[in-house]
Amino acid sequence: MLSEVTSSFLRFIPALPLLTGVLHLVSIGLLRRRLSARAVTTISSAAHTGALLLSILAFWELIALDDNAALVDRVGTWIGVGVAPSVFTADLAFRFDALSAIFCLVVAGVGLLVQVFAAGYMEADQRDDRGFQRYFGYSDLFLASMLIVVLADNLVLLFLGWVGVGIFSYLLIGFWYAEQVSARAATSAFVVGRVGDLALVIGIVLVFWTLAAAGSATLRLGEIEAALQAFDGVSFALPVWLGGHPIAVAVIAGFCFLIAACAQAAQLPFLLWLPGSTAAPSPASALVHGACMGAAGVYLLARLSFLFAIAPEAAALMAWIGVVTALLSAGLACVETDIKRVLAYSTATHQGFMFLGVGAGDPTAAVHHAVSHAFFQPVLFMGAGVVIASLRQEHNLLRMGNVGSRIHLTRICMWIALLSSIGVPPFWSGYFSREQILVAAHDALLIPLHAPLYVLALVAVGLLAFSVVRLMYLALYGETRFPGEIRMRIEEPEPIMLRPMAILATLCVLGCTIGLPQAWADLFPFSVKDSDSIRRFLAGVLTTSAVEQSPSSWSVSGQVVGMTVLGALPAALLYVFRPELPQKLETRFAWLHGLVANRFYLDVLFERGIVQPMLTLSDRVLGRWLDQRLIDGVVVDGTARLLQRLSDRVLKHTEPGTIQLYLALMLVGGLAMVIWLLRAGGAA
Amino acid sequence: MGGAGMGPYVEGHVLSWLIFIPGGTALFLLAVSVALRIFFGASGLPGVVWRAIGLGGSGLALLVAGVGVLGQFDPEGIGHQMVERAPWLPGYGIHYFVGVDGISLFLVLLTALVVPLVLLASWNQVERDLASFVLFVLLLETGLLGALLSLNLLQFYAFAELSFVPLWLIVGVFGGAGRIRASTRLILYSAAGSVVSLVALLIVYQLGFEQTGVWTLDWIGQASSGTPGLIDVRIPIAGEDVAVWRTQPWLFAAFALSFAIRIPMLPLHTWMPEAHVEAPTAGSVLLSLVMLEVGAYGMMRFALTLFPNAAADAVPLLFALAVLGILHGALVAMVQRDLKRLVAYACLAQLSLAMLGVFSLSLHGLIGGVVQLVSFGLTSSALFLLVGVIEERRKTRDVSELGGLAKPMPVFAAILGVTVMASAGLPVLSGFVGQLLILLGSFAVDARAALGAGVGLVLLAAALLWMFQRVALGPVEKAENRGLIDLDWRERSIFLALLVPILWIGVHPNPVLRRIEPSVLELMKQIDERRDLAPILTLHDAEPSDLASPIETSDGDGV
Repeated sequence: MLSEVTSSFLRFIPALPLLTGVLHLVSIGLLRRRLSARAVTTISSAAHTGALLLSILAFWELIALDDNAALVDRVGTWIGVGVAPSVFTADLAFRFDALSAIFCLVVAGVGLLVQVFAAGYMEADQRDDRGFQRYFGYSDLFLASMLIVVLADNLVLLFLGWVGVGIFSYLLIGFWYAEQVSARAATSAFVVGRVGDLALVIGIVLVFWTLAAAGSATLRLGEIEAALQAFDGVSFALPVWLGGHPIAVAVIAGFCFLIAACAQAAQLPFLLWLPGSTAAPSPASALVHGACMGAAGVYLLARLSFLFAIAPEAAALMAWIGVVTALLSAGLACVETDIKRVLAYSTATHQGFMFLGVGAGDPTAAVHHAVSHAFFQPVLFMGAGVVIASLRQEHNLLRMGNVGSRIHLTRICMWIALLSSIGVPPFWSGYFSREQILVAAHDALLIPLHAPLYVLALVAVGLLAFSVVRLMYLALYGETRFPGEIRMRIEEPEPIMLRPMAILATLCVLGCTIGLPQAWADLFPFSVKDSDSIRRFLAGVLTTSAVEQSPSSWSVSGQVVGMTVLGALPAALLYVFRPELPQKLETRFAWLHGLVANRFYLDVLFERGIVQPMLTLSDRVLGRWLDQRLIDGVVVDGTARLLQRLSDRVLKHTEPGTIQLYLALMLVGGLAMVIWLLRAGGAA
Repeated sequence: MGGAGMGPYVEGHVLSWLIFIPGGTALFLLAVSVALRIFFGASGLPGVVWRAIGLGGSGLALLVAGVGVLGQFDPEGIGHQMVERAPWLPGYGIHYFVGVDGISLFLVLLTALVVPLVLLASWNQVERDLASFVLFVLLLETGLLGALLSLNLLQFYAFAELSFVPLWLIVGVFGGAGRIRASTRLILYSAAGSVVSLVALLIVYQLGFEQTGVWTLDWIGQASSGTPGLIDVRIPIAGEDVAVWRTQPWLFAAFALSFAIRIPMLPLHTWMPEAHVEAPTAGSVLLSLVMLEVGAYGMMRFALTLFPNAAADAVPLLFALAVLGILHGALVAMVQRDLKRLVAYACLAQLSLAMLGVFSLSLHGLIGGVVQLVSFGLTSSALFLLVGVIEERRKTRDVSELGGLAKPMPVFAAILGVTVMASAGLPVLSGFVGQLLILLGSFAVDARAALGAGVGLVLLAAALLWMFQRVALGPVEKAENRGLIDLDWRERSIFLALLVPILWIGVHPNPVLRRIEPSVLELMKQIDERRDLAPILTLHDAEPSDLASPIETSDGDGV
């Protein structure tokens, strides 16, 4: 059991951005005068700075405590109904333990940097007169929701933040609401999010009733883990047509949480809707897809790693979903021509690796990778934003080229982030975290069905390297493939945009110090003890079921690096030295290219196979046939005609109108009543 | 609480004031108008006076509800509060008997809030026959409040009918082109329900006399007679073992049918989209109030508590109908082009969800059901009023005629967005708490039903969000939409008045839940007590006094 220490300032970490977000939106709605851009950014960045400082303060307090301690801040009861043993309580309470601490620091820190970048970016790109403040309203609230997710003390509050993340990403994707593409993408992102929300609610309900049956109904994260034995031996029988086998409740709950996390982190089958989400403004993409949304999914899985430890089927499915998503999205990224979509796919690939990590039983590696990812991916999105903005909203890689020579500093930042992203050893943060995930997957080789996991993950590593390096060369190097007059106006972004990128790029380098595997640390001439500090820090809160890091890790390192080089080199060679070759390959393998470029026609299949039939069913069968023809036409009108004919016969002299009929019926009823009353009165 | 005696019993008059202020205002206006016409030859009162006094009357009722009823309501109190009981037809055991508990409290507040807003919203919409419009709306409010606060079955019936007639007139007189057909359909359905429930009511009356020895219809609050509830009667019709009629299933069926029509539940719902489409904006809002307060509330308060065993037997069927209702409503809403029809089908889904919670007969489900009803009342009112805003400006409700309204009407779009999200049950807005508790309660009864309802809710969110996208987002393609004027201050204040409780229930639901919970526990206790009553054999020639106390008969197999 974790020891809990009361702390009363945790509430302000999400409250600060929440307040500023509400302030922005309310002032747009109610005030005639808008705040100046300067005021807006000052307010927002003050709030985020405050949240970051408070997180650091909490972190300080936390490490002064015992290993397994947590800070808890209980504000009050939010929802509380029921009688024992099924009391449903959801408090407005926040919890700051090792896992929350890491995510909270990352979200608050990266959030602040991205917001500062956004101040510069959105100032330059205002298509809508109220856009600036609206952007900060949405994104502050997005960050507040994200902080609620990682700080929530119970699952219901976590759910609140979870849905908040969904809503504000919906609003950010649909930020340029007057454009049809944004509007559509936003709606589908929202609906997909709702599917995940439903899964999360069902998971919460399952946990609640299982624990209630064992006499300890609770949804507090710390207490669920303590009451975990309530899940032992509890199972649901499948319906007979599915074989009637019992399935452990832990596994079903695990599936539910997994689906929820998949929806948030754009894993299969929700990967299909990821491309649309790039309609958001670039800073929002950096924030939503770079730093936060996938992290929320991974946070949930890591947080519940104790549950997955007793639900091996769910964990296995998670590993497989992760690896297949990583492979598929890395493959899709290799042929995608929209710069932001390539990055979105690479995000999905990294999140696939994280899922693989949790699924293979090493959540620490996944959390570590989430941290690294939150450092390098926003830089890539910001860089892409700079390129897009300087080319007048050009998203197509094929109409870019040689932009890098005019924006050196941006290019350097992007290179650092890129090396982290594809995992070039040794000093880029992305390398170590991913290597550990692959080590966990490698250990899973021993389990028969899981043997392909590691191999497929290696292929994904190669494809990822190829796709990102390809993006880099297509966008920043090679020939100029856009009108020359634009070229002269490409300039290095303002310092307000450049500095956050530089800081994050620095973090990409320094990031490796938070989790350096001991084997690597031993290579140093001076001795470093306990170099894998993140693993030590998280040891108390995460349940690791993977085998101890095996001696094979050097060979894994070799294979990973080999695959990275195998992916990155051809990309560099192709796009730098033989830029005409990709085109030729494309025409040569047109069918393959078409298949991948159209996302294997999966979205067409979904549209034609599920959505259209469903709409047809609703319209033709349910709406027209059932409601209008059958119920209305046959039953109701039939009865009406019948009654009319009857009343014709009975009330010959009246007009057979329905109003009269109604009155007649009322009259009959009233008369019956009077007779009854008289009788009753007589009897009494 | 219902006292033991049959005489007057009064804990204050605040509820009576609340009930009769709107109706009294209406009658006063009518009287003055008629007097002016007769004695001074004037053409009645001018429209603005009707409007202002009507608004004043319903505003006063809101004040009474907010300050008097909510202020005096004891959150810890068990049973009905502020009870008032006066003889009405004493020889027949019929009393004027009103009281409020946690279940009706928030529905009363909802009614008192929405009716003045409706009057305010139709400030410019209704020109013709304004006097009768105001009259109908106020009478309807009295009917609704009376029905909600009634503790006597016959009184409930009377007030429910009183609320229905003005509604039918509002649809029939102030409605659209197809109003006659729609109001006819409304009448047909309702008449069927009324007749069936009236007959059942009379049988209940008779049975009550046979069982308690007194004529009574006060079955709603605490037991006022020797037995805690109506006892199931087995009537042998062809030898005791061959065929036996039991009264409870039939009576339950009759009550449930009449309430299911009013709610409406699948498959009795087809009058509802029709009526909404033809009704004026005010009519739609009021119609949804009638649906939830006469239908859903009545189902919960009467059908389930009077006949708990039959209700428990019917739960699988009712569960299935509720889940199908959610799915059907959401799916059909998705393909509607007429905004009002779309919202009407969304109403079907929302009310079916509330009923799912109610039929779970579990604490979580019932509380969730009540919260969902209140939330539904708020969000559906807002949605219908928003549709009215569009209709007033664009003279059409066709979705394909709209699009991109966020550009010319940003405030409207923002309010529509928030309302849609509240209907979709997102946290921090009113729909969330109800949905969560309903899923929690129904899951324990039948996991498949909860899952089906969950899928339906995703579809409902999709339908509403898609509607929002097609109305408010995207480019402004039609030239007519470019110059639309955003909400003025009157309209903004109406929506603000609806959004404040929507947010309140979402952000800080606990005060609401705390007031509902004791009453739901009381309701469940009542159900449990009545469920334990063994059925008795009846012999119709037996003296009533023989059966005055509950008799444990030999066979209790029906329990």
